[in-house]
Amino acid sequence: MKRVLVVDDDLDILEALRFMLEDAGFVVETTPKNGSIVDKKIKDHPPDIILLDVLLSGHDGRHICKKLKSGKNTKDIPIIMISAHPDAKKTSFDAGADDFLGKPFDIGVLLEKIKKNLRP
Amino acid sequence: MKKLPTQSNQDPSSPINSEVNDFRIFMEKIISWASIIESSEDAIITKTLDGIITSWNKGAEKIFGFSASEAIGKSITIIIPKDLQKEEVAIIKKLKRGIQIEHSESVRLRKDGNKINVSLSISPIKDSGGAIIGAAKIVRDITHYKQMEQNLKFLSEASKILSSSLDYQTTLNSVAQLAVPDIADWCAVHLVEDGQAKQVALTHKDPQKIKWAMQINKQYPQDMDAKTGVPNVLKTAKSELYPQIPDEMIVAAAKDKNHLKLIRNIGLKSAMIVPIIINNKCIGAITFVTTETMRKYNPSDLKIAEELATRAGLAINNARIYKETQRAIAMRDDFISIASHELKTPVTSLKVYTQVLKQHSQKNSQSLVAPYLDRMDAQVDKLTKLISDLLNISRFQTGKLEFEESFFDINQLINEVVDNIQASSPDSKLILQVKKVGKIYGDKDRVGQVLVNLLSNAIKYSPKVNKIIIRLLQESNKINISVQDFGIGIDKKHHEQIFERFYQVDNPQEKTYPGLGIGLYISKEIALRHGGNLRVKSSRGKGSTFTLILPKKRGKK
Repeated sequence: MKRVLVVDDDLDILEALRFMLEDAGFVVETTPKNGSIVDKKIKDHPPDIILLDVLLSGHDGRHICKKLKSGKNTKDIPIIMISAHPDAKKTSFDAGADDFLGKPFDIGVLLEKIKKNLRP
Repeated sequence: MKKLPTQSNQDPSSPINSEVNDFRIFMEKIISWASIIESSEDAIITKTLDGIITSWNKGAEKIFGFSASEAIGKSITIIIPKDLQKEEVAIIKKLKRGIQIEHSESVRLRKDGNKINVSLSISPIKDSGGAIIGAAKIVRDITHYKQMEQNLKFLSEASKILSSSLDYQTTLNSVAQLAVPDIADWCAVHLVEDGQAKQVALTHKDPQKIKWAMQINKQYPQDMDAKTGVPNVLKTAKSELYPQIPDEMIVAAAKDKNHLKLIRNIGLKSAMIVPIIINNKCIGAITFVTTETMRKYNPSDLKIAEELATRAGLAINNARIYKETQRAIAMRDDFISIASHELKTPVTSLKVYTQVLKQHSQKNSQSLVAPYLDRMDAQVDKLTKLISDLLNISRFQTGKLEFEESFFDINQLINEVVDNIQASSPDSKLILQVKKVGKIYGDKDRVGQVLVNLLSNAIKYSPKVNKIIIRLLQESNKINISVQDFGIGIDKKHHEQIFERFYQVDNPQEKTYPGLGIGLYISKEIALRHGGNLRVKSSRGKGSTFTLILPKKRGKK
């Protein structure tokens, strides 16, 4: 079973995504956007894919993405960035994201993107 | 002159009496001419062809300051400034040819060295043989008139400067610079900031003098409780006019002997200070002072200065209102941005749960629940769209909607959009009649946005018939994408307005179609920004065809 790490500051969204992804057969880890907690989660339970929220005004989502993509142990983990702000798409790819999804999203579309970006 | 005796005997026809009579009439004429010359306010001067003054009336005494005994016998050059001596030579030349000079404007010199603006009329004096022996000169002092002319020109120029920019610090400085040296020797502008009078401009034609004045100001800062001058004008919002600054005022303003000496050194002659008023509040003052030019300000000068202050007040007020408006708009936009972001968060969770439940109900073929979950999902989408529209309006209005252009495959985009919409509207029948066009230049996301908008509208406004045809074809260097529905259609009278912001066709008898009414507005703007257009063909009850026209390739801007 593939493991998904969901990184978002909103607890309700973390819960909803956990519900949906477990239902779809994934093992789910969730964490708020705290850099050190994210690092710990990745170390303890390396994920197969990461869903990362972007907050447009703060830079933490993209910052975390950049850091992970340049980290020796983490650069190969695919990252899908999600955001409520449509302008976040370009900057997400600039930060090294493998894919992008706008909120609110269709769960079918999310599952397809996860399938597409997972390493075989 | 005494009146002459009339006649020696009573008989008017006697020869000696008629001679006396003629002489009397002649002398009376001379006396009345003489009194005209004497009482004239203008200077009436006669001179020889060598320029020696031969007569000098009261007017000349008054205007030039030389008495008749001082002037007669001297050269006319005593009243001509050194740099204009050539003028006199030219005048004499003209006179010798018998040419009259009328209303020629020039500058002449007073006894005290002051220059004055004058208007000259000079005519040749001939002797009984017709030979030119001299000239008669009428000189009118037009200094006052010239000053008024200058005042008005200054006011006009200053107004132009004030309305040229919202940066009133700079424009006020420019106006103060404009004022010297034509209107004043010194000009200063003060504005009230945080209860203090701040000097925002100080000008004089000699920058050294400005430095020196600022040093004095630093050493002896202005007493804000002074009963006269800028502090008083700021307090009372009333103008002050000093045609001649009295020495007592200077003594009262001086803080010590040294200060008094410094002030006296400046050589203050005349001053006027006018308040700048906005909404009945005095927010500043403009000061005009003469020193070197020795001009004396009068009430009509003050009127011009007050008019200038009024216009300055308007300019400053405009700038402030604009700044506040911009700030309010920015705050509103920030609020809308944050609000729509916040709204999307719970909607995201809602959609996830709704769709998971939908999936489950479909798997368990619980037909009771499935249709309701379908409707719930559709409503969540509507909610999402409203929130996005809200965000889009404000961003579009402030021009923040960014365009990213590149080459993209239009066929691929159409397929993507149609697939997505078909997936979320399984009841609609989307038919593609597309020719292969390939790559076009534009913003893929925005063009996609337009297609989504047109298709959503087509579905929304076709409650009964679910067929929708999407066509794509190329016409020379343009591509046409049309979306045709067979729904309720749009009456011709609305065809122009539907592209306007917030416009919704009002149909009280029919269903209400909720939305903010900006989809077509934004779609048309996107089309126009690409150098294309968005057109509609429709009539009531017969469905609608919206055509998006885009240039295939665009020359890079």
